[in-house]
Amino acid sequence: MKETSLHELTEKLIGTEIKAELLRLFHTNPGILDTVEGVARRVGRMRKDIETEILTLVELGVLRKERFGDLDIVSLNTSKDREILKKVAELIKGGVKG
Amino acid sequence: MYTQEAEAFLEGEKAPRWKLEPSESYMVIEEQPERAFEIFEEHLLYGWRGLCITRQHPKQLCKRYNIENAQVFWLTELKEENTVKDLLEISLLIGKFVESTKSGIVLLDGLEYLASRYDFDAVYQFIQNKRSQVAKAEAILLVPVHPKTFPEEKRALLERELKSLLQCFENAISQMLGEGVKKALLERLEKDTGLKRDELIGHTDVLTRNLKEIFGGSALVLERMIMKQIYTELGLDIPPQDLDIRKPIVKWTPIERNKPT
Repeated sequence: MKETSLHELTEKLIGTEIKAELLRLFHTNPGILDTVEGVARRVGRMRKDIETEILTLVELGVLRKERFGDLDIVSLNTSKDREILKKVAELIKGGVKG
Repeated sequence: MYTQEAEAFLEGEKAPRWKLEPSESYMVIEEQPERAFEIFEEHLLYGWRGLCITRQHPKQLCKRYNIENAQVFWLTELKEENTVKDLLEISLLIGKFVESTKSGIVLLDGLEYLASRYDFDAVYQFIQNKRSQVAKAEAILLVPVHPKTFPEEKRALLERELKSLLQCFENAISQMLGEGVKKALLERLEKDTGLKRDELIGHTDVLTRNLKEIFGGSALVLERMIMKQIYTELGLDIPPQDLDIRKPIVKWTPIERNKPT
């Protein structure tokens, strides 16, 4: 059961290489506030390639997307991110064999 | 028969898959020094000049790897041509090689043997000294180390001198999923596999199986990100899309393109 939850959660978090790259970007630079285009440039991808992945991470709560004037700005939701990673760590520990 | 990689090389691909960074020294933790020899072999193929000091008999080694172009010295007590037996000799040999060679790569296989004959401090100082020489000469030093040769605190000292693949693995996980997940994952892998963390890198089959068990379908993404991290930190090109980390690095078979079929 725990393994199923862990698989589901990690699928949402790092189920694709783009999501894994986005997580790495925001975890190594937690202060980033940037547009989707800007984030795409930072990970060396096209905007269209990362839009859906950013939305998935926003839905999960790891990232935040807020409107500033004409711009949609993406940033790390640090408290929610910490909470989710803590959950992942607990699920990994909880699955120890025998 | 020739491999796809050899064909790519013939068609002008100039960078080896395991192109290490000049001026760096690398420790490859593995029970048998296979990956280190494969990396060494590949660099020779791409035009690097090599010096290999090894506990294995050079003739046996040359049957297994395509390293005829390298200078190969047997680390042994026996007095024969192209043999070395002590730290001083090895030190002079490496020093002379890196100072006189452009694009030189040194493979030092036999740290266990040296550690059995000298105290750790002597071996450690030797590594420190060689690392400096290699850095100055823009050469590369590769040192395969058996995971159980040195106690943890001593290996930590060596790791400060030599980059390790384990560090790359740990960095990949922590950068993506944080320190807490990295710690939990390493503890779980140690418990599930019975292997110590620095042994995991040398058991890619076990590592892959366990990552799959823990992360399910996301394990493939994780593996790919780990490989990218290793490639980045070791100064390599980005791994090809179809790279499967469960397979060992492709061995360079003799190229027989011009032979009649």
